[in-house]
Amino acid sequence: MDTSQHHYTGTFHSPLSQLTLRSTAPDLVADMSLNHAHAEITDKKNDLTQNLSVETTTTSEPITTGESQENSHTDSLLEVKDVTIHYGQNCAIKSMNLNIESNHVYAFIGPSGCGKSTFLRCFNRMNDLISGFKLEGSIKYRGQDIYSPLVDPVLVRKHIGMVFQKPNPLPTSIYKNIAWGPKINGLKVDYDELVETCLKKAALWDQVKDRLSDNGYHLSGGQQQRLCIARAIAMKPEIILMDEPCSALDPISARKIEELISELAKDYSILIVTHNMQQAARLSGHTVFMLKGEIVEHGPTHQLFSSPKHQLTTDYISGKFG
Amino acid sequence: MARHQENQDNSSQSGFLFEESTNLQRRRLLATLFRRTCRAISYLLVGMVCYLLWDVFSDGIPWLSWDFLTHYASRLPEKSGIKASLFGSLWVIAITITFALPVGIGAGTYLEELMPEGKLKDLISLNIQNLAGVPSIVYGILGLAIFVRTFNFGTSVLSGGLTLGLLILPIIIIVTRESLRSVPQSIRQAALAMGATEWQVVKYYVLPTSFSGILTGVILAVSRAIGETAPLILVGAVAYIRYTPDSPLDAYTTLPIQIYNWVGKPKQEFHELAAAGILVLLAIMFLINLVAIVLRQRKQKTYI
Ligand SMILES: Nc1ncnc2c1ncn2[C@@H]1O[C@H](COP(=O)(O)OP(=O)(O)OP(=O)(O)O)[C@@H](O)[C@H]1O
Ligand SMILES: [Mg+2]
Repeated sequence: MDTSQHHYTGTFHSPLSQLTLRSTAPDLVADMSLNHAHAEITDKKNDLTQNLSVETTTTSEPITTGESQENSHTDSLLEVKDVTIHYGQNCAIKSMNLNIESNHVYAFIGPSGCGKSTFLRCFNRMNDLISGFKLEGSIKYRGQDIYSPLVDPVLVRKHIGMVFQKPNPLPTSIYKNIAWGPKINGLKVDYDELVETCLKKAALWDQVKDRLSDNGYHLSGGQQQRLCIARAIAMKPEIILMDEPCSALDPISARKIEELISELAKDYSILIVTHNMQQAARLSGHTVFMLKGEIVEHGPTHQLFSSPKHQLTTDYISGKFG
Repeated sequence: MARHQENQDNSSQSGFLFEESTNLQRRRLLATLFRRTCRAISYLLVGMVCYLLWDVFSDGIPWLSWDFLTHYASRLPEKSGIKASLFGSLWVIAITITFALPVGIGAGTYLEELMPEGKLKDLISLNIQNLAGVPSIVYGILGLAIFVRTFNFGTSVLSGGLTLGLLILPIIIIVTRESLRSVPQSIRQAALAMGATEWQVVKYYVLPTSFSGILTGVILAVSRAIGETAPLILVGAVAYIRYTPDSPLDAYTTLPIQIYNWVGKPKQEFHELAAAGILVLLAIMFLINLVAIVLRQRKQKTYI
C-alpha cells in the first residue's frame, strides 16, 4: 500500500506550467480517495522536488485533462469482446473480454508467450501481416468494430499508434521519420513545427536539433526509441500501443523513456506490455495479468500488486514463475 | 588489481590454455584443409579466366580499330566490322530492358509484398522458378510462336528483344523477390503503424532499401541476355546485314550471332575478328556493371 501511495502522488510530478486543477478519473476516485487526500497535501512539495532533480520518479496514474473529463467515463475507449486469436492451428488468445477506458495507462504483464504482444497488436491490426492469423469476436474502438470488413486498417492505425520492442526508425532522416506519417495521411500542419514539438515531447530535441537530416539509424538505441515515440505522437493518435518499449535499452535510457511515457499519459491512452513489474507499478493505473492467452486478473495497479485476488497473480508478481 | 598481478606472474608457457588437445588439433586441421581447398579452387578459376582473356586479347587486339566498329560485315576480313551487330545488340537490349525491367520488378513486388497468400500464389511462384531453369532455346520457340507469328512482328528487332525479355523475366522476378525479402520486417511495421498503405510502404521504403539487390540481379540478367544467341537465331536474327535498325520492326543481327558466324568460318582472320567482337561484348558488359556500381553507391548514401 505504501508503494502505491508513492506512485499515486507521483502523478503530480509535472512541470509547474501544466499544474492547473486536475482530477483523477472519476471511476478511480472511489478506491483511491484516501490517497487522494494525501496527494493533495504533498502536491506542492513534489513540484519543488521535480524542479530540483531530474531523477524524480515521474509516474502517472490515470489523469483526465479538463476537456475530456466528461466523456471519459461514459463509454469505453476499447471494448474487447469474446476475442479468440489463432495463428494457424495454434490458439494464442482464448475468448478474452476487457474494457479499456480512455486516458489511462494499462499495463499488460505475464510470462513469455502468454499472448501479450498478440493482444496488443490486434488493436491496430498489425497482426494482419502475419499469415495464418485469425480473429474471432469483436474489438470496438469508440463503439466501432475495427475488424469490420468495411474498416480500412490504415485508418485504424492512424488513430492507434504503436511503439515497438526493438527501436525501428525508418531508413531515412530524423526529420522525415516524424514528418512522413502526417504527410502521407494528409495532415495539414507546419511540418517544421510538428517535428520540433514532437521531438521536444519525446525529450530528444536538444540532442538532434542540429542534425535533423541525419539518418535515424545514426542515433543511439535509446534515442532511436524516443524517435519512434516522437514519430508515433506526430500522428496525433488517441491511443499509443507500446510493446516492451524499454526492453532493448539500458537502465538510464529505460528510465528516460519511462518518464516520457508518464508525461505522455496525460494526453494519450497508453497500452503497454512490460516484463518489468516495477515499471508496470510505476507507470500504469490498470494492470492486466495474462496467462496462456487468458486474463487471470485485472484491476487498478495498486490493488493488483498489493492484494491480488488470484494465487497465480501473487506467484507471478512475486517472481515464483514466469 | 591483485588478480591481475597474479596473472601476469605466471604468464609463462604453462597452464590449461597451453595444453595440447587432439580434438582441437583435428578441428584446426580440418579448417585449414577447407580454407586451402577453397583457395585452390578460386585460383584455378581465376587462372582459367585469365587464360581465356589473354587468348582473346592476343587474337583480337590487333583487329580493334574505329573501322572495326563502323564497318559492316563483309566477305573480306580486313573490310569487316561490327556496326550492324553492335547496333542490333544495343537495340535488342534496349527493348529487352524496357520490357523486362518494369514487368519483372512489378511482378516480383506484387508477388512478394501485395499478393495475398494462397494456392494461386504458390502455383505462380513454382512456375516462375521452373521457368528460370528452362533452356533458352525454348524461349526462342516461344518467341517464334508468339511474337513472330501471332503478333506478326516478323523477324524484327522487336521480336528479338521481347523474346530475350521473356527469357530474363523469371530471373528478374526471383531476384526482386529475394531482395525484397531481405528488407527487415521492422521497416514495414514501422511504416504501416504510421498509417501508410501497403503500396506506400513498398514505394517509399521497401523498394528503395532493396534497390541495390534488385539492381545487381537485373545486371546479371541483362548480361545474360546480351550474350544470348540461340533464341535469337530462332526468332530470325540474320548474320549478314548491311544496315542498322531504324525502327523496332527492322531486321537485325547481334554481336553474339556475328561472333558465332565468324567462328564458323574456315579462315583464321575471321576467328581473330570474332575475338575482337568478344572484346567489344566484354566492354559493353563492363560498362553496364560500372553503371550499376555507380548507381548502387549513390543510393547507399541515402539509405542506411
Ligand atoms: N507470427 C507468429 N506466427 C505464429 N505464432 C505466433 C506468432 N507470434 C506469436 N505466436 C504465438 O502466439 C503465442 C503468443 O505470442 P506472443 O508473441 O503474443 O507472446 P508474448 O506474451 O508477447 O511473449 P513475450 O513476452 O515473450 O514477448 C505464442 O505461443 C507464440 O508462439
Ligand atoms: Mg511480446
